[in-house]
Amino acid sequence: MEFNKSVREDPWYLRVPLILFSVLFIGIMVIGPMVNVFAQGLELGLGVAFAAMAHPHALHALQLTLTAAVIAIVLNVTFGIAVAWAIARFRFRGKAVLTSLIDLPFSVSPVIAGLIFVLLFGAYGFIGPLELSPVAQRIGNTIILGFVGLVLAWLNSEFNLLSFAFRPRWARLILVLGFAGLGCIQPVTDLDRIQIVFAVPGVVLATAFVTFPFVARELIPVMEAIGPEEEEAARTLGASGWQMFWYVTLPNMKWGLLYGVLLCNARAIGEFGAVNVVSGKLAGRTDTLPIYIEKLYQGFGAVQTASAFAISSLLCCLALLTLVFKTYLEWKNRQYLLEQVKKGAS
Amino acid sequence: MSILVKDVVKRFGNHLALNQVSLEVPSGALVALLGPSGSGKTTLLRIIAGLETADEGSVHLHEEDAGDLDVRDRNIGFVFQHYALFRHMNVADNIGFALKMRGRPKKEISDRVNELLRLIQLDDVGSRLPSQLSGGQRQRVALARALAARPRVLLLDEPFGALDAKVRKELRDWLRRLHSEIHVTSVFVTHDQEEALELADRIVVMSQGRIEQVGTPDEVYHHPANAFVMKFLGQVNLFHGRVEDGEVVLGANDKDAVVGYVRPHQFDITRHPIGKPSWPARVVYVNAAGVQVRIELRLTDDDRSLEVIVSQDAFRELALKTGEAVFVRPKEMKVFRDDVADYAI
Amino acid sequence: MAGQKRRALPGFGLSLGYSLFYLSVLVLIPLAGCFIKASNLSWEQFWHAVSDPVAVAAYQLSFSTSIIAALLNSFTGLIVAWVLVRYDFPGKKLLDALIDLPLALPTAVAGITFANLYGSEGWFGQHLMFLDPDGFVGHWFSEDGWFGSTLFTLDTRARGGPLAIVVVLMFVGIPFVIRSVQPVLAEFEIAQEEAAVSLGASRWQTFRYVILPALLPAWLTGLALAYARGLGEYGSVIFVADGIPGKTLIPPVLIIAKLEEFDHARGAFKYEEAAAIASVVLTMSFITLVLINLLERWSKKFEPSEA
Repeated sequence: MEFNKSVREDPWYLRVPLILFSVLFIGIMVIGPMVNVFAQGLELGLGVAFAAMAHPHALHALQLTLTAAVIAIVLNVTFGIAVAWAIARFRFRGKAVLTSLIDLPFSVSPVIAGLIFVLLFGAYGFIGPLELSPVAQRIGNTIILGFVGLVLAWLNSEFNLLSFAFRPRWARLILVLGFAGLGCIQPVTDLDRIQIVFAVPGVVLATAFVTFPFVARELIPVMEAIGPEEEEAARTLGASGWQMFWYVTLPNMKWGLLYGVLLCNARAIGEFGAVNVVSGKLAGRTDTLPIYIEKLYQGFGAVQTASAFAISSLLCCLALLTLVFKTYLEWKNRQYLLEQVKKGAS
Repeated sequence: MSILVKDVVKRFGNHLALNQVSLEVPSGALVALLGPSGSGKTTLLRIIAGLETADEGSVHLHEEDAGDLDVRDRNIGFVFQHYALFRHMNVADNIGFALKMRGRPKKEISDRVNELLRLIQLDDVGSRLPSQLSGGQRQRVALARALAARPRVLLLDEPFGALDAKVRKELRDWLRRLHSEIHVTSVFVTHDQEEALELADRIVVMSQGRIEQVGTPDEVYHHPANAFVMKFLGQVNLFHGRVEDGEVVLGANDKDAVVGYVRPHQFDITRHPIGKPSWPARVVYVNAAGVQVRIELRLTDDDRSLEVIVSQDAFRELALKTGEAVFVRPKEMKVFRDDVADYAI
Repeated sequence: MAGQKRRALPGFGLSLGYSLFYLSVLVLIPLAGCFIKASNLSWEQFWHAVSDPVAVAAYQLSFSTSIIAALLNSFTGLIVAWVLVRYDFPGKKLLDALIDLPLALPTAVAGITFANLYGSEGWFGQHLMFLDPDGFVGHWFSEDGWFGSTLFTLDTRARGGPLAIVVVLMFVGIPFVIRSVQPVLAEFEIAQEEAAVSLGASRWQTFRYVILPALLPAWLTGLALAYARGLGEYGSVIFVADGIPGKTLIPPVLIIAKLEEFDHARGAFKYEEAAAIASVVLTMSFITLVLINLLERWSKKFEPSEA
């Protein structure tokens, strides 16, 4: 960036103190605490730090954290792509409302995010643990499989998958009734009790809730900036819906998508409040890394504290890695959009 | 008939973008949709392509009702205003896209791509990315991409809109040669009358969602159907007058007021009055740089400015100077009213 | 003609349908459940639950610490954004990248490191003992100190008290103001500043009347975002605050306490009361969200409309 020196250059007695202030502020507020994590983690030596990380409970917590993060990412990427496609490519009533509803989970305190799932699926919740009588199981299966059939019928009508054998109307009827009938006659899922709260599904739900907006928020502006022309071009050249998505839409939004996934991942791994409420904190079963850190920190003794910081150092490294990737992706994304601008201008 | 558009109506909210538009495009024609922005020309093109759906009316492509046909099944080639090249694919992949979507074998695709690269005279850029090409090159690649699957109809949205003047002229000539070689039915949208006059063999002039006139370049220029076409195609001088005994007399009058239109080159400038009408005027400005000489006159009677174009020869004969008094006489005047004949000498 | 894209591209029904389905199942229905659960209480019970002195003190604490932290951040954020955009100095890129650390760092990690730093043996805390009630500054503000006895008392401890909450909320809110203001400042046209100078404005006048008004919408948006984040923050606060009911207890902690509290008279956990307090906090957050939306719409008005 180039500045016109004569107008924009501030005198040194303004510049130097402002720079010093900024460096000092970030130093005390961000760098100090970060360095402290590593220092405390290594206070009792590397041996203690590695022992803390290798503890079976720590490893299990790591595994659960990653599982929850991966599932939350998959769910939110699917949603993000769908909602970005609808919002950035079509006009419909209520678009503004939908756009602001995406941000809703950001404004909800994590503890409340956990609470709402306890209220729904807890022992005294609306739905409670999903305990299903044989009849309810059948009804549930009918509905679930019927929905699967509906989704397939939808896919079929969008992309003419069965056009070689059936007319669209018949295909729709066969798919919905066929799948629903299958669910009614022979329950496919045989779970009669699904524990959600104080179990892994609750951890996943809470994580998906708090990371809900990340992917969508990144994708919508990227897709709006790219515009629909390339997709329209693909259609005029004979591409089907999936072909268009696969060859044009997805490659075009990949940097924005990765950026969203990165933010989603960072938040999912670090989530504490929501998981704290729904997980029940069962050691070695429903502990995620942040919960495990809390337990260690609340425990007695220097070893416990050092262990908490050792595992924190791990998460801190992850956070720094996230920042590196984030800076790279921002640069990449900017290049990509700049190209678009250049293209439009010439 | 290659394209048949019948009574098409398209609304965007309250805005009527196309109002009962009907159009026939014969096979092999090169048609221009010409009009100012907001005239509905791009909407019409997109409806023919299937990128928009008409609220009313029908579109037939090669005698087949295209109403139920999806964009991808219409077998049209569409060239977008900003080309819409796939930015992550190289030129060859861009051009081969349509054939790949149709599941053609690799060999056939690469042969066709090479053939098209030769056609657009860009043999050696196949492995480059669109961002590494100049504007004119991108335009040609976009055209090759649209032609790859041998479409029955080629549609171009402001094909030269984003290019600078010199490249624009070159590409225009190149496109005309190309069309005479491959003879695919083509429709292009433009707001540039010069481009339409030079390139098309038929021009469709549009305004406010309606078609004003359809004709050859010669017809629309020399025999405009109405005042809009006259004004939109080329420069024109306006005279406000009234009708007396089926003739136009200058000078505004509320009753029977008419407007006469005279193109700048349809004037005689003389030192002395000859015949009727012949109006006294004063030379305000002369620009003799160029093929012809542009003269600005001010009428003595009603203080109105006139733009007159004369040949260099005529100008030298007259030896006009700024501030001199002259007489000006229209050779041909258009009046768009049924009861008044055009004035011509 | 721009903007009308309907039907040319496939998948509208599928994408919108799925989006609404997922949004409802994961977000809307569970959130509605919270309000419905709270409505199980009679009006008196509800009022009793939400206006309990401990609960009111918790809202006040959350509200005041969030707003103070956000205000402090808005000033430091403006300076840091200015420095990052306008000046060059070694390590600038690193500093710029580290601004986002509070977003990437798990809040629990932030909590324990701040608790440790400002603890009596921590790097910072050991030098801040004078803030304790028996330290010389802390004493002024305690009940028998000259300030505390004449005006009001203040818990100035570096760890455990409201001041500690403000510090940690400042940490989590750092990126918001900076990241809101930075792009606007970076894209601010030099021509506008040159115009101001050519019209006789001083450097300060240029800043005050030309630059600052252009930054205002983004600045306020950043402030509101930081405030909203502080309002909901839990993970880091519980480690630095000592959680004394009525003094240093934030609403989320109260909600968790209610969830675990068994009502022997009814033979059930106090889910409804937890839901009642949660719905008050939720309402506060929703108001903030609407405010942020309005601010963002307002700031869009100032963007050049060439796109």
